[in-house]
Amino acid sequence: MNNISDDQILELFASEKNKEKAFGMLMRKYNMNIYQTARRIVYVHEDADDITQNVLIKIWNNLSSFRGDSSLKTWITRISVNESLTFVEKKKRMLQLDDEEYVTRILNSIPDAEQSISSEQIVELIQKGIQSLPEKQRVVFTLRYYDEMPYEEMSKVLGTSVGALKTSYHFAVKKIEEFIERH
Amino acid sequence: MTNNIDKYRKQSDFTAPEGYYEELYEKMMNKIAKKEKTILFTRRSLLYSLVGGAIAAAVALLIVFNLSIFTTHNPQPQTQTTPLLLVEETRETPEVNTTTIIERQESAQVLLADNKSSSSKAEDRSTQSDKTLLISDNEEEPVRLDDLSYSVIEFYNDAALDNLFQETMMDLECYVDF
Repeated sequence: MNNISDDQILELFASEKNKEKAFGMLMRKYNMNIYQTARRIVYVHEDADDITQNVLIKIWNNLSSFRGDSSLKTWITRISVNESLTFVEKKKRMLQLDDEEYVTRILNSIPDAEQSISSEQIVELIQKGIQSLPEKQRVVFTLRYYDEMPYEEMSKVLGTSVGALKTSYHFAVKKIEEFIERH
Repeated sequence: MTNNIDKYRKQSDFTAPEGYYEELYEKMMNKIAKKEKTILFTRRSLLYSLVGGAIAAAVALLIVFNLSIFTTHNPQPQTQTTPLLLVEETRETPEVNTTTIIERQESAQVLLADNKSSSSKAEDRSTQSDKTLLISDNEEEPVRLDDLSYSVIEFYNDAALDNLFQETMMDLECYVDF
């Protein structure tokens, strides 16, 4: 199912009769990307689930107006990132937390690693370290680290220059490594 | 450990609960199906409202248009049929019993309440025969009761002794003193 091309999905989606079928194909292809993008930013599964559903609804509503200026994947990633950042902002406002308090809250929800560090624990520490990053930097880091997204494409998603993205990613990696060392 | 986070790249990604993506797929397909139904319903409702509104407006316009035409061509609408009291009698043959008198009295009362417009038409008719009597409450045209009175007197002569007639006349508060 994932082998179907984006063009085929868009073509099917354009006809009213096959719209739902095309959307089903799109979901099968991109569900995981959307969820992972959201999860890396908000960490909590339930929050990531809410964001994923919102993103899918937005895709359903706006796919017919997709002009193809970027790839479908880039477009979907942009929606996912924006939706995730909006979600974080809303949550902070709702809980009346500043950035630091929000990060502390997220980190506290992640179980502590044992003293003798295994690879699983390092993974947990990386995830914790990601959550300790400022939101924009977290997005840059996750897109590059997990998705291996080229900086040029990332630049389209985030509307930031390639140079700034490279610098941001470099500092993000440093911060996470320091975080792991500290813990 | 530093500078080595790259080797955990794939390993450190988040995992969704088992069966999550299938569940999400089903949930979303149901959601969009409902959404489509709602949109269709809303579109239909809107269409019906618009069509209904247009029909109502057209009917209202037709009514207003017809009324305006009607008033233009009939500046004084006189649609009421003119009730007339046409008492065709011959003075020579006043063969009317008391029942007839009662009927005439009732007719007279009814017709006295008729509108002014009846007078002109009735007058036209009355000119056709001098035996035709008009009763109207038109203030401009005095009511002419002479002929009726005459008829009543004639009847009274025939039935003066009739108790029933007298009672009837009393009921009607119509005394004739000789």
